Amino acid sequence: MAMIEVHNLTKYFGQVLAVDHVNFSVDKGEIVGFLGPNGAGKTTTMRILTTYLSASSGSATVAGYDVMRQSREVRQHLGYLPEQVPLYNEMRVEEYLHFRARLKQVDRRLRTKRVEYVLERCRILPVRRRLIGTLSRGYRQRVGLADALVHDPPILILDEPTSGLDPAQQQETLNLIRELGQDHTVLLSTHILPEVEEVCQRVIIINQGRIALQDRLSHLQRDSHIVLEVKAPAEEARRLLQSIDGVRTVRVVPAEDGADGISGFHIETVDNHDLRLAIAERLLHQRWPIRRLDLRRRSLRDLFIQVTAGRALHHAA
Amino acid sequence: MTQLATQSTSIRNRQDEELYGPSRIEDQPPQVARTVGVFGLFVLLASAVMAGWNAIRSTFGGESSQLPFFGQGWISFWTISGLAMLYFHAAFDRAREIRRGYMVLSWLALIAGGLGGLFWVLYGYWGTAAALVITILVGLMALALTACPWVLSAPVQSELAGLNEKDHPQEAPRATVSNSTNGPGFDSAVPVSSWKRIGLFLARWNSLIGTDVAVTRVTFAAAVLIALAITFSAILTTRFQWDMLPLVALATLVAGTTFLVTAAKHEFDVTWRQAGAYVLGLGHTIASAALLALMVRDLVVTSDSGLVTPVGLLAGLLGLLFFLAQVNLSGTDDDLSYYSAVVGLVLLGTLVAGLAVIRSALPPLSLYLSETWRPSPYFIPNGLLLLILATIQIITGLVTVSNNQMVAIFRRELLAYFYTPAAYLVLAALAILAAFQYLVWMSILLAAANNFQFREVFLEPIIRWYFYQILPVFALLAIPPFITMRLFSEEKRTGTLEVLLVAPVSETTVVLGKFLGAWAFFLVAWGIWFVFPLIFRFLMGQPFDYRPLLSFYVGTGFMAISFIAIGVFFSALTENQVIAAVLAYAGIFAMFFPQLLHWIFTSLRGSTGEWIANVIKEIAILEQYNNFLEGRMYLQHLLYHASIAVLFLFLTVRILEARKWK
Repeated sequence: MAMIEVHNLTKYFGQVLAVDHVNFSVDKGEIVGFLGPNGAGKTTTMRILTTYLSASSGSATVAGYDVMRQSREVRQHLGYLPEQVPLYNEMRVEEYLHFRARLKQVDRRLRTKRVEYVLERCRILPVRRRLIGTLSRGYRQRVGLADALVHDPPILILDEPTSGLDPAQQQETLNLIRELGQDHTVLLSTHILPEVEEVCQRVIIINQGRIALQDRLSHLQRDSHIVLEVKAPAEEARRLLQSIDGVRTVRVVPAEDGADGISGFHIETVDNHDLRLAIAERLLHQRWPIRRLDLRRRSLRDLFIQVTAGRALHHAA
Repeated sequence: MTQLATQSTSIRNRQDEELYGPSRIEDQPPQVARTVGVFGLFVLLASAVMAGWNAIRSTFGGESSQLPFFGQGWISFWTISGLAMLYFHAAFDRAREIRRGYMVLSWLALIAGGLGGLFWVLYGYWGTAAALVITILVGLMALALTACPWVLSAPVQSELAGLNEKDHPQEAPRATVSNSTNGPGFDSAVPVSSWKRIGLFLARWNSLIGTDVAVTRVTFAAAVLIALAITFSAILTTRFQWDMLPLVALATLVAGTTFLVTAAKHEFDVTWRQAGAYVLGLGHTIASAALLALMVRDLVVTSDSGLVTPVGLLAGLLGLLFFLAQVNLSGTDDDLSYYSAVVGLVLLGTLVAGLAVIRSALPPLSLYLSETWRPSPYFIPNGLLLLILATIQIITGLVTVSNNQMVAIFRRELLAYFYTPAAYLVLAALAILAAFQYLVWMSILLAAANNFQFREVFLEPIIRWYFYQILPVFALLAIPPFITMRLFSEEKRTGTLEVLLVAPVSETTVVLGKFLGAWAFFLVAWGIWFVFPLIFRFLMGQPFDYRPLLSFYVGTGFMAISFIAIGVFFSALTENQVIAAVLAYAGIFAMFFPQLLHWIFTSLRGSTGEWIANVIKEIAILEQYNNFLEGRMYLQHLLYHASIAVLFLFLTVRILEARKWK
């Protein structure tokens, strides 16, 4: 069941097209990474989903409610953590969460329990009586997350939840998000790619307001090629490699340090089969010494750069 | 040794750090608040000296003494100013010793005030005096006990031992023999005379101040208490000031409550907070019981006009204060606090209203019921005042327990004023303006009283000479932008508006909640102007027509809704508070413009009487102001402001919605 469904969503700010006919959906229980360079339209899309902004055209539903017509129900069903984590600095953590719980209409009898639960879940029990203004960035982030969770929403929309945190805090936040993913649907935007690889099951890459790519992470990572460096005449070796069963393309690339007599190859195989053993066998048969034989999965980083840069080039042309 | 001392202090601090969590931004020490606090302490000491001098003078010199005398008003003024400064300090200094010190102080004040009131009821004035002095002395001892753990903590002990060696080489060997578990070294084995001991102790204490923060703070707290003790006992033992006693007890209770709430707000330790809440809950129960007992008494004994004013009314108000303070500490989310709020305010208010109505209905009913039984009239003023009290109780109760979103925003906005110094500044400024205006008013009245020819000009309402002046008008026009400027612009600037509007809450709710919060704060602040005439009327016993005060308060309250709505609107327009305030002043000036036109029209005699001149007269602010002040409240004036408010609040909602379509 799709918890978030976006259909042809478009948003203009005056003449500027910020989001351009975006389509995607997020299923129940998924953790989806929403990627893109700065200014790609991530925050705008999220703000439309939270009903803070309205779309110029297109439609979106959150938890089955239309963001335009049933905005209140939408907001009742989602927890939102904005990028800068704006909080009332003059309030105490506990007071703030109670206020937010009241505002989000958490039943009075559950309120204390919910607040205690999110205090513990987000590990902010030690700072519950502190003024929010005196908290460090990491704690603020957690208070913001606690606020997003306090009315027990099925959907969480987190806008760059790890920006501005130190590596330890980033790790901690990611662990928390992974835990939350067990019983919430999470849409999380970021431009820090290793994070996505760590927690997300699916990625949506948006660039210049358009969806550039969306797929399951496991699909994307299956894409791989073999890197080979061998001391052999390049053309002869290429012909040999080409003749191996299952090899699709062989591309000659310069060897890494340009050493004499060493040729480098990128080999793509049919269905991404791992042919390293077969290749090694054939090369050994020719008594060509192998310097390197590697299976390289395509990293999200390569993909991201490829997708976003390709798009930019396309636009320039 | 000194090194050791600082080391163990830092260990203590480090434990604090762990309590607060790993990545903690160090709070800036509240230097301003501390300076104000120390200044307040000096002011308090000064007033204590004045009161003490008065006591000495009247004890030894009697009334005929030629020695100078400090006016009671001055002493009260300095005491209250000193307390206000201390309160400011208490509100912004979160250090542990400070908040605990203030908490102990507030408990003592509550005990002293409570016992004082009790003894006053039971034994009259001397009993009060004795009780207050005794409780304050007991309190001092309590404070000394509270201070003990800090004073006798390891660093201080070693500091004492170190001083011993440095300052008194001859005594050192004997002093260090004593076991440190027996307390400071000089206590047990040193055979020195007691005078010498005191001298030694003072010398050590003096050298400790400044080396250990805790000792400094305890000294500070002790000085505060001593000053208060001297002031109170001096005021109470001075002859001819006995009338002040219940007032002093009341003031002590109010001061104790405010200090308690502030101190408990800063408290991390649940036990201390709960203790504070229980003390306040007890206070609320006692006060409400007193109110109800007096009401029942009035219902049973119908031959007199009733005892419920002023003691019962004050008890009711005090109970309300205690209760609000307690709610502030413990919230209303768990069942116990929720139902106690329902019972303690909503049901109590209903009960008070019911009893007041029944007792007020007796005199007219008795005409039908009996030939001889004639209860004395009750409704004016007792029944009416009780009904007002009951209404306040019920409304506060509902606001407290309500789960409504608008009420939640209203409460946050109202409390937010008190989180920052701005609110205290507004209140203090208004208090000073009002005090000044009161002095001017007094001088006008005195001049009139001394000048026979001038006297005939003085028609009721004489409060006209207090309110129809530049300062009150200026305050009425100047406060609203000050209150409203931060409402939306601050949220826009910090981005919290996004978080607020992404909660399942409509824009209308947000705007109304914030508007009501600002208005409630305005009503509180504006109420300061009415304190002085009320004191003049009820405490000094000067009879004048006080009823115009009611219509004036209601009327100016209505005026403020349009001013505040304009301020809310401009606050939603910009994220810069200063620009918001300036625009709001421009808006209020625009509302004042018809007044200028009216002045021009009236100066050109010929054009008055035309319909346009009449319209302008109706919407001229000062004409309306004058009408309210003279007890005339016209519906068109109220509707004028209400409709302007509705228009601007509607526009504010539209502006908030417009963000979606940018």
